[in-house]
Amino acid sequence: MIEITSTLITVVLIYGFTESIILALISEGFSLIFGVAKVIDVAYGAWYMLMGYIIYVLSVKLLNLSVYLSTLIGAAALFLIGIGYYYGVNRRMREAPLDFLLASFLLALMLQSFIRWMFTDFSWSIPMHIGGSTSLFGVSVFNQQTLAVVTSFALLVMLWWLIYRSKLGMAIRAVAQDPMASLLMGVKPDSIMAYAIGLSVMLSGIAGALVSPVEHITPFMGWDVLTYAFAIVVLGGLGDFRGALLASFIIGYVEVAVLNFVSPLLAGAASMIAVVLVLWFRPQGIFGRSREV
Amino acid sequence: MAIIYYLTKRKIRLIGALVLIFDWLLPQAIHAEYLMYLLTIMNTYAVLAISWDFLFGYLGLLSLGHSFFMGVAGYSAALMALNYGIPPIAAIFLGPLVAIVITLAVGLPSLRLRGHFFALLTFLLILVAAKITDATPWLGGHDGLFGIPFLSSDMVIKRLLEFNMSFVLLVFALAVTLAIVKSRYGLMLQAIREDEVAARAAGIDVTKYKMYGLIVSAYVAGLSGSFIVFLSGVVNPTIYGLDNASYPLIMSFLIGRGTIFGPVIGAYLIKGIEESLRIEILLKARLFIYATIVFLIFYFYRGGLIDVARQISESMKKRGGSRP
Amino acid sequence: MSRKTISTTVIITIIVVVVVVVAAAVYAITAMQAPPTVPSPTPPPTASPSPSPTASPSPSPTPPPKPAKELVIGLSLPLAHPSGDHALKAAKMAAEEINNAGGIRLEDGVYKIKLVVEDTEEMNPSIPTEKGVEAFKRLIEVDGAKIILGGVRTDIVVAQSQLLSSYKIVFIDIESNNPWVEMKVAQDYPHYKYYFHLFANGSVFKPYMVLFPMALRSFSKTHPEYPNMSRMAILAENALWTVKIVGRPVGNSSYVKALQTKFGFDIPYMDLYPTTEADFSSYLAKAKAAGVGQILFLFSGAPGVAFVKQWQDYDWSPYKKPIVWGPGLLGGFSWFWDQTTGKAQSSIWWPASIRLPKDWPIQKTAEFYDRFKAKYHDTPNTAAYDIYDGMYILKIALEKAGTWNADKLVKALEQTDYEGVIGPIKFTRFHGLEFAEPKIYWYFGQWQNGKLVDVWSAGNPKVVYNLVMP
Repeated sequence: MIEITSTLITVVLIYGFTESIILALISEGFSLIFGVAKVIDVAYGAWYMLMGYIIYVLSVKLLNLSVYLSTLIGAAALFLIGIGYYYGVNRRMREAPLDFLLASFLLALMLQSFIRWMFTDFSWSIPMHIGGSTSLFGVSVFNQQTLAVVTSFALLVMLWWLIYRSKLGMAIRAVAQDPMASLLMGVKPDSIMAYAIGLSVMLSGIAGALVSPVEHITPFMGWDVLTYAFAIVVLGGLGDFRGALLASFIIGYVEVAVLNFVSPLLAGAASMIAVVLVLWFRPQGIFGRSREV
Repeated sequence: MAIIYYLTKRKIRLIGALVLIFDWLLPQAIHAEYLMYLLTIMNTYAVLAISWDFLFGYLGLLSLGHSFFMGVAGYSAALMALNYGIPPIAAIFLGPLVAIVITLAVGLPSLRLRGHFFALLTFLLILVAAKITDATPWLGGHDGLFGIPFLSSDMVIKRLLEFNMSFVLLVFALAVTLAIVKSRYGLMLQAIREDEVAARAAGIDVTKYKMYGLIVSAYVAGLSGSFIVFLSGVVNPTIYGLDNASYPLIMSFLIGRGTIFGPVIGAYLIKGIEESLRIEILLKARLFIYATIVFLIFYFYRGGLIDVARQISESMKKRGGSRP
Repeated sequence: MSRKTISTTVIITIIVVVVVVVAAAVYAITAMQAPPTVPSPTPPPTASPSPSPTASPSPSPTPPPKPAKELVIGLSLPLAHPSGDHALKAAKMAAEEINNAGGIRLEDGVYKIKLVVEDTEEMNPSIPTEKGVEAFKRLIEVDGAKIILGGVRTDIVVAQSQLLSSYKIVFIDIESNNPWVEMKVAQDYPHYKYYFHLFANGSVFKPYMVLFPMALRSFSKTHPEYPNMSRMAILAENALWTVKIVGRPVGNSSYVKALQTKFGFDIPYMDLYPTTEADFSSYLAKAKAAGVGQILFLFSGAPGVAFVKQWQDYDWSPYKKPIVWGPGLLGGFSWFWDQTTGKAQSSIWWPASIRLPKDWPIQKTAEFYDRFKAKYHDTPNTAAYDIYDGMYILKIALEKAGTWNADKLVKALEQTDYEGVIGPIKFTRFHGLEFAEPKIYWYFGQWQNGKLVDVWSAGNPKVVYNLVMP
């Protein structure tokens, strides 16, 4: 029914790329917390949502600050929250990952219902960092999305450098492999894990700050983010940097292609069905090595 | 606080049984429709909470999307009654069978993996189910299905029938889960929960037993869903919503997981407080307050209120013991 | 050793479950073979010894206490949503006015209105339908409401209206836009006659959806600076109310076909979007590739905010930015401007709460608007208009019937002939709103610098006026 024209293909290629790279940022943060602490953070989407409301309060509701400033404040706040999250919740339940999963679910529920209580479940807007849009090969792309792509790309490169090339990254990988052994080598697993989780929470928040100005903010928007992050990480293999990167491009392009070529109504479900199929045939993920999680 | 100490598992069952009898008698004595409706809703959520508690407390499978079973069964029962003229009471018991089939189709692979995957998969399922239902015209799409027949077309009979039916479902759910838990099969499940590797080594087919447990839980949870559809006469994707997904969890954790009767009391407490204390703040911040309370209890005492009571009374005993 | 004990318990359990399931199946099959007597929807409405709280208020022999008697009116509203918020405020305003003017005179004396309200949370996508039903029952049984006003979400209204006949209570629906219950009134009058619909349902809007784009098209012919509005795109929310308008699959409806063939519109792009959509860039790209001059956008909730923001910031070159219009409940609400941080500029919505549109004969509307604004520092939305009128037609009907007994009140309400702030109010045979005479819902409003300005009226459908460029 839908004609496949060259414009449509350009649209899919370009929007698929923007979608994928943002998904990559989201999933790498999610992957990080799993890779280091071996737990799943169900509140991951809640941080994304929280950032939107921090900006809303700082830039719209109360103080009228510039969006850039409130984004920075929000990111710093989320990093601190992440460190507190590690010491307060994660460390306490480290020996029981399922308990942590449950605690983070309850925490996400708390955050969401708190936001709902404060700001109602009505959707609000936060101002864009850059308004307007620019034409790219005849397809217009919002400047905000361009900013999101550039920032995500920079953050991903930095993250890769941080994990695979820096000294801190070496410590992170050491802790991920064996916390006790790393302790013997003079690495403090506690502070390393706290940094990693702070980073993960902050990345989720930054993704929220980059994406939600184009859309709107609701108390529920975090759950979709969690779903995508989980789907990507399952697809790519838990805790695998390259796997998650590739998987987010697969999911991103599948979504946008289904939206444009098949039906927008099925876009959300298509990639999830792909995940269920992968779980059937290759439970360790496309690139994963181990099925023991 | 010492009173709570006596709330050991057995005592909880006794209290639960008393509550049940009271629950059944009270509305028969006082003919108040609202009370009856409230108890009907409470019983329905208690059924849901029991099935959740069975899955987590005895199989160690954490379900974050228990409303999935509820929704699938609810939609199936509604379609049976609407399109095939199957009477509601039969549809209530047949609907959950569809839930079992779909659960096995999508959930089976995750049983081979450990807890994480199952938990997140269930959560993913409710989001996907809501999206697919939204996009499917014969499921009524976003607005759902209307005009689902009631249990009886006579309003007075309907009221009584609904209440008694919810009670029957509750007793059925309790009987089934308790029978399984008390049996040797229940012990085996506990062995799996405590140490899966050891259980595997002992020659237990872990995946098979988990699958059986999942089937039972899906059926019982499905009952609550297919029943609730006939209460309101409409069903739509909100049945998969986070409210329904988080209630069983909160209700079970309030008293203590793995108690079967705990969730019943939890359901009564939470729904009861919600309805009786009509305070402004409780209305708006309802879920926030519940989530916070349960989070705090869970944070300090993993075992719920029972654990709280046990620890308090133990410390009191110690103090009492040193005094004389 | 005790393998046997395991299996016996398990087997017994399985047997119990199987027996129950088989019994249910057998029952189902037998019932299916018998003619469908079971779900018969028309039982005799007479014998109902229900302990109805709305017992007829026959003048009691004991003299009532001197302080004014209270008539409890229930409001079933989503209070965290602008429709519920404004409806509550307007209902309070109306109740105050009626009470100050002496209250309501019934057979057995003068009554003052007392409002009770329950939050149905119905605009929250994660709240199941039972919450709305619970709120409704609580209003009647706990709060003692004798009449109920409210209702926004269709499924909640449907579930609530199924209870009316058992309680024998009148329900005035102020904001749901689906004619489902009206249809039920037509089919099953004895059970659904207690329902009155004080809002435009989807079918009312259909003729406007032909006339308005035609007016836009003829306007663009004389104004070359505007985009070419004979080319049109349709984007519809995937919800029940758009099924009849745009059809499934999209385009398969008499409306769209008439636009294309009879009225000569070129519709190169049509699509449905899910109610949770937040990123419209693909849809906009397709609309742009199709070179459309107007976009018909049907929405009711949050996606409208995202869409309007993205449409505004989209780069439409080399084409001109198309006009966006459509039925969007939220779009005509006063909060929409803030919600989109001003990006709603030049979008056109129906229904729109405009202070005093052109050629509007009723001064009362502007007075109500001003009083509401002075009192609550907010411009009222359509829910406020509707419930304000609802309170007044209720007062008149109550005084005519002399009682709140539902059966008598229904008769009185059916004869309603009242000039309200939304225009003259009469009900159709199926208890919907009669649309022949001028209504505030005749107008389309365009957002212009934070204000809704009327640009078209069903009274003079050939022209658009006051229009600004997108």
